[in-house]
Parts: sequence; structure tokens; C-alpha cells
Amino acid sequence: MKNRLSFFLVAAFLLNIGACKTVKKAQIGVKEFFDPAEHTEINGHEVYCAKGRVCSEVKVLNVSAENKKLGKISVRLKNQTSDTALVQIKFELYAKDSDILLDETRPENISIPAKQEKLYQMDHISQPNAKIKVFLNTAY
Amino acid sequence: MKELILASPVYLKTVKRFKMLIKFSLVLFFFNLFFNLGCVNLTAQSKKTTVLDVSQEDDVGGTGMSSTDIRAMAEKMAREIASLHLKKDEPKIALVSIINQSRFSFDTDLLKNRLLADLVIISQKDHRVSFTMDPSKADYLLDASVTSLSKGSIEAVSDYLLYTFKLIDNTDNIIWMGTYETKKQGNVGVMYR
Repeated sequence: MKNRLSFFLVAAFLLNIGACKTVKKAQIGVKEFFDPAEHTEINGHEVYCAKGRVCSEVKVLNVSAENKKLGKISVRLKNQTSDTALVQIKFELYAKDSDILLDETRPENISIPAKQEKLYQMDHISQPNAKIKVFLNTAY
Repeated sequence: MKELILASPVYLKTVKRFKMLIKFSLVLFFFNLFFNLGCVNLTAQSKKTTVLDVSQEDDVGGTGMSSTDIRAMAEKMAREIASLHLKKDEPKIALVSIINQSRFSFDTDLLKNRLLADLVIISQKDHRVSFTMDPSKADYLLDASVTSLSKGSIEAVSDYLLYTFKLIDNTDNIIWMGTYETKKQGNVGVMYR
């Protein structure tokens, strides 16, 4: 019995040295399972939340852009929670049907009162026929 | 009676199972311990100094401006100014001053440099405006100020910060005005330097 226990302890130690990378992947995989990233499409543009819960709490109602060079991009957000929500929003602009990044904005903090909507706009950024990727993240 | 119970097969089986359960729990515990000790996040940082992304909020808190606010404000204002349709072709704009009228102590050059860098970079996309350090050579002057409305009680403080930008021509007409606002509430007094 004592030998069996010692065997298990040594095996655990050796496995640890060799299998940490696999274990770490498994740990992260479990966390991802419970809070996966969320990716939706609105009006042909993408909305991406690295933490899926952010997209559940603050919903993107609409994404629109002026179809001209250096025009405005508008995003309408709704806070679905009963607390004041704080999110960081960022845009990336890609050429249509390609992965070429045309422009991007810096993350900006937006605070939305409970259950309310907010219109977020950024000027001098749109491009004709470009695809917008809206990133919503927590500020911390 | 006691000896009978202790010698009964059911009792012996239960004790055996209990001992196996204890050993199994011990093995699981050590597995868990080794894996957690050995598999700590390599990318995690020490508590002494943490390197943050410049747009990430820190744990210090505070109701004044943050790096996120400054960066977002500079970019937004730069994009608005770069999209203006001014009368002259490729006019020169000079950023004159940033006046701090808020209750927070900060270096106005921080705002000025951040804003100027963004103005230059963003305006290079369509070359509609250019910038100069010499106000006497400028067609327009860009003036900025930071003002605040602050409230405080024993329990909390709140600060509304208004960043105001004015584009003025040679005849002192205000051609454009832009604003950026933040409002924060906190229960901790934080010193800004």
C-alpha cells in the first residue's frame, strides 16, 4: 500500500514536469467553455467580445458607417443590466473580402446607465465598402 | 457484541472502502497541488510592479483623468479636426495652449503632446490640414482648456471633466468647437501629480 502511494506521488510529480503545457491548455479550455468569446454579425459588420458575458450584458443594437472615405461610424449599444455598465469599445476597419487592416481606433471607455441605450460615434474613419469589427471588452 | 460487529464482513468492507477513499483523496490532493504549483501562469505578473496596457484601467482608481481618457480624447478630437472643411487649401494650425482650470494637478504638455501627435498622424491621411509650432505662421489657432465640476462628501467624491477645444481664425472668429467629457464617482481620494 505504501509503495502504491509512493508510486502515485512520483507519477504525479513526473507528469507535472512533462504535462504542464497540456494541463494549462485543459484549464484554459474549461474556462473558455464556461465563458466563451462571442462573435456576432450586424448589418454585415462584426461584433466581437473576448468575454462573451460582456456581449450579453451590453448588447450592440446597430452598427452603421457612412459609405464614404473618412466618414462617421455609429454603434448603438444597450445596457441590459440593472447596474451602470462600463465597457471599452474599439473599431477595426478591414478592406472588403480581405484581412487588410485599413484603420483602427484606440479603446475608449463608455459608461451606460442601467437599462439604457447609448449611441457611440467616431468621425473621420469610415472607408467605402469596408467591414467594421467592433470590439467590446471590460475596462479592467 | 462489539467484537461481533468489528469482525463482521460488512464492517470490514466499509472500513476497507473508507481507507481506499482516503488514499484516493490524498493522491488527488497531491496531483492538484503539483499541477497548480508547476502550472502557474508564466505570463502572470508579480504584485510588486504590473505592466499594464496603456488603455487599461489601473487599481489605483481616482475620479480625474486616466490614460484611457487622454488617449481616447486626443484621437477623437484629432479625427474631428482633420475632417473639418476649412476655407483655405491646406491651412496651417497651431496648437497654442492647454489651460488647466480643473482641480487636478497634471502636466498640460502631456495632453498637448498626445493631441499634437494624433493631429499630425491623422491629418496625414488626406493632407487637408498641417500643423506648425509657430502661431505667427498659422492660419488658425487651436485653443484648449480643461475644466471640472467637483463635489465631495464624507462618503464619496465625484468629478465632471470637460475638455474644450476651439479653432479660431485670424479675426478671432470661432470656426469650430469640440468637447470631450468624463464623469466619475469614487469613495477614495487619489492624488494626481
